[in-house]
Amino acid sequence: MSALEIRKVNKRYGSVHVLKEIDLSIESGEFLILVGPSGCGKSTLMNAIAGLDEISDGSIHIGGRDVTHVGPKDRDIAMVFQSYALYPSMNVAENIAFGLEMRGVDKARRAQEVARVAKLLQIDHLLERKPAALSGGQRQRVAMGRALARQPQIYLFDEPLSNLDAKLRVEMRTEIKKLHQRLGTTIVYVTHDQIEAMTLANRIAVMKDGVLQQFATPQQIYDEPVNMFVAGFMGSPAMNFIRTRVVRAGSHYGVSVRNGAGRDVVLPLPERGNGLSAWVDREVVLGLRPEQITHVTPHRLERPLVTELPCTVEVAEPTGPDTLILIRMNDQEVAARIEPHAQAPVGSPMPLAFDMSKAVLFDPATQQRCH
Amino acid sequence: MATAIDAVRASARDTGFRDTLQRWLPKLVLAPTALCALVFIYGYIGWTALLSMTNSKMLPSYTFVGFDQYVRLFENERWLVAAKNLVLFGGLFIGVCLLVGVLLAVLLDQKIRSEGALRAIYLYPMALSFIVTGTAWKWILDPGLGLQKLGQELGWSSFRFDWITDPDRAVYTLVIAAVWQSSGFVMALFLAGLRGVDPSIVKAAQLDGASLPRIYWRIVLPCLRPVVFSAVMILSHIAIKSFDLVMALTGGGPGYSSDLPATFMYAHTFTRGQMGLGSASAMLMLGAVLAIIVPYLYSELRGKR
Amino acid sequence: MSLESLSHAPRGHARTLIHLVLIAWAGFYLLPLVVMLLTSVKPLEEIRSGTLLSLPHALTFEPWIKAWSSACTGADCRGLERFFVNSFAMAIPAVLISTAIGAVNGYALTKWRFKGSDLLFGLLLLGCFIPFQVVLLPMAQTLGWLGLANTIPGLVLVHVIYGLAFTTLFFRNFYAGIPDELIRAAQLDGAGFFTIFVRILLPISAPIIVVCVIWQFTQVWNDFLFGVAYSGNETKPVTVGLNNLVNTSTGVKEYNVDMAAALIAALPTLVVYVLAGKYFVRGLTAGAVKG
Repeated sequence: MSALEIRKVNKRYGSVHVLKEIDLSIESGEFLILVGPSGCGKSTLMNAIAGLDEISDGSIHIGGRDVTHVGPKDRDIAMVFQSYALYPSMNVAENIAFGLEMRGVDKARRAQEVARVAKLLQIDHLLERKPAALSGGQRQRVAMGRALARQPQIYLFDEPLSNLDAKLRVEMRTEIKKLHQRLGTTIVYVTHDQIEAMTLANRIAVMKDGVLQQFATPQQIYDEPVNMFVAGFMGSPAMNFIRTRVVRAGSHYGVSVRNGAGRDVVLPLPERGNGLSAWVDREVVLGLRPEQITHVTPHRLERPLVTELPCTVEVAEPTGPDTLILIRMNDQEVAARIEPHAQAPVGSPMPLAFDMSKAVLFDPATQQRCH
Repeated sequence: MATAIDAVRASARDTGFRDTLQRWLPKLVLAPTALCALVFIYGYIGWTALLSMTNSKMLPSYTFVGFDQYVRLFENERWLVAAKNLVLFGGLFIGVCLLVGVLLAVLLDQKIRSEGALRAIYLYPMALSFIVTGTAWKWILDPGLGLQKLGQELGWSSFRFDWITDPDRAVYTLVIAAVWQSSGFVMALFLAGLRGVDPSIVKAAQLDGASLPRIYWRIVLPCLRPVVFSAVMILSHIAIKSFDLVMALTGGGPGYSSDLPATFMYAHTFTRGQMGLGSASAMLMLGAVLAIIVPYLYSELRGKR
Repeated sequence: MSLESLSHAPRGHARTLIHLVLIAWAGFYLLPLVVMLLTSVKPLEEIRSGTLLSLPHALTFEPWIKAWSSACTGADCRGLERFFVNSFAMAIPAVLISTAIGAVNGYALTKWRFKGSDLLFGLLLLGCFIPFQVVLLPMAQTLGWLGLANTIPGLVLVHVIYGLAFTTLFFRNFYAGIPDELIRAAQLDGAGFFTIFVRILLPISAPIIVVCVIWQFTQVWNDFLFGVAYSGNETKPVTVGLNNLVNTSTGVKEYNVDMAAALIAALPTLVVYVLAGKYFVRGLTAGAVKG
């Protein structure tokens, strides 16, 4: 039985269609991330799950129960808000206990629960404080505590980390992950941050313009994006998109590229069982992640589908652990990720190894993946 | 633990009625107010409009006379005086209030140490009833014992300040008292506006070498256009409604020389048994207010969206 | 150049001039109050012989006592006391009721928006601005039918009805600034319409309640139009009482009593202003600008 199932959900505000035929389901204990640029409908979808927004049609099931027409308080969910939404007039303990109180849990039980949650989140010492006297990170914990105290079937997190500074954000991210692993809770989490999505999720739902683009595991999303939007949205620095042409090389297929030096080369494509013959001599977009273009080492070249090409370093951006360099292929800027020590000076030639084993091709007309 | 929560869970499921009630509660709660607004504001406006087209005298009658009452109104010398007075009083009142308000606000904005106390003094008249204001100024402007006497006793023997008994000038005494009451408020509006101007703009202008008066004239005051706009709205609204002040200060006199539409309306409706005429004058007052307020509200509400 | 010299404040003579102008204006604003006070503690003799600003030689509180308990309105010589009491009897319920309803209205209008809630608010908003002359006569008729003509409950009703637009406006603007997520969180926690209002919003509404109560009190206390139109002999509010007292033409004109009466009528709102001026000003600007 799936913990959450969303079937053909549509949401319209007047003539604006904000959710289009959304279909997805997760099992108990999974960590689902809804990700996408702002305005993609992810928050609307979350509100629909919570029951805070009514859907136009379709149905929502939680723990096998159809909750489409059930009020938010009876859906057995808890939510952590972007602004934390802590009740300003109540102290931390009262904030955490409020949901239980509303559900008629007696006072002793409530105190027990507050103590349990406070210990879990290490906020025991803050219980008497008002939200205004807490730091951002502490408020974040209290907001999570409020959700945890309820022990609902599903936890909803609406961009919970976006109001924190960068360092705290990373810390809390780890903490949420640990909490999920320890408690085995089912979580639906909205974010626009693709790193957060990759690090936290079991499953990612990428959305754009109210349409679910892809629903898969993080690795699948990363390696096998279904279209250029998903490919470009997930991963930082973003995947390179190189306009090129499919060519036949004997029994195999490849794409032809022209590097900065003006030489045409054919990069071999991996065999994926789908006939590429229809694409021969047609224009396609080659998707290649920066880490698949890197400095040449002998054993790297021994692998299949790896080709060495002479390139020219145009710009170098050191990040510390590795350096991003920009080269030019087919008259487009292409990013490559290399180890800092291997970098040739800017303006000088540098051979690079192109690993095509994970290369993907997109149809430039539909932007959908075609290989 | 789980059992307690499960029990609560189960009981929470059967809540169809409560859910429906919850959905309707906001509307239910607002219904009485909506009804009040419809009946007591819009219904009554309609009723007054209706009365204004009848020949009602002491008691309402519903014999229709079309727009006769409006025609009569504009043939009525006293109404014409009241309308002319409103233009005069309103124009001066608004103009002087704005001038005084801006001036005081700009001066107060110069990091004056006793700003709090001064502001409190400028604003306290706003807490008083127009009746009290009228009573006080009536006494001060009394030609026998008031300012005129004070001036003469101080050695200026030919000093005359008897506007309140002068049919041509009585309306100006209304302006004095009304400005006294409301200009501090306009000052507060402008001061709030000044404080809202981005200080880095002023710093930039200073670095450009502009003098302080120039900075105010060219940079700061133009930012306050919205404040002027709302101040004019509020003041004209006060002017059109002015009733208490006239009653307490001049009683509309001498004769009816300082009548305003509000006093005209009251006198004809309640004391002179001319309900139809009084209603017609009330409708015209409403028309004047709407002509000013509706564009204002429209722009305000649009701006918020 | 130091940063200090950049701070935009005139110095030297300009500064003195500014102070002088500001203090002169303060004098203008204070003049009526001072004159009223001085006049109210002078015997009638001194008023005739001296000037507005001459200090009393024989300080007397007789005018205050007379204004309060025995000044005449026509032939009725019972002073201002009963009108003063009437005003309180009218203002307190009117203020409490209109504030309470306004609070719930503002909450429902901002946090439970529905189709038509904006329209309703627009309709109400216009109610803040109509000249009351346009509802005066129909309301008089209605009060008559309800048997509330010339009664204090009638005045309370009128003040509640025509105060609602403003109180709703105050609370609406205040609650519009409270994040909706707070309400959504409480909804998920299982709280309903009134529970959210009472437990979450009311505890943080103190500032706007103060503003609203002060504004309404000042409005109701200072009202003259409704008072003069709808009150009877025994139910006149203090503004009407004062006006009648001052304009009574029988007997000797007792300016000192008039001024004492005016001060008595002004006292409650002045006290409110002195104690809570900050909130008073906030109400003025909020009620006015945010219209």
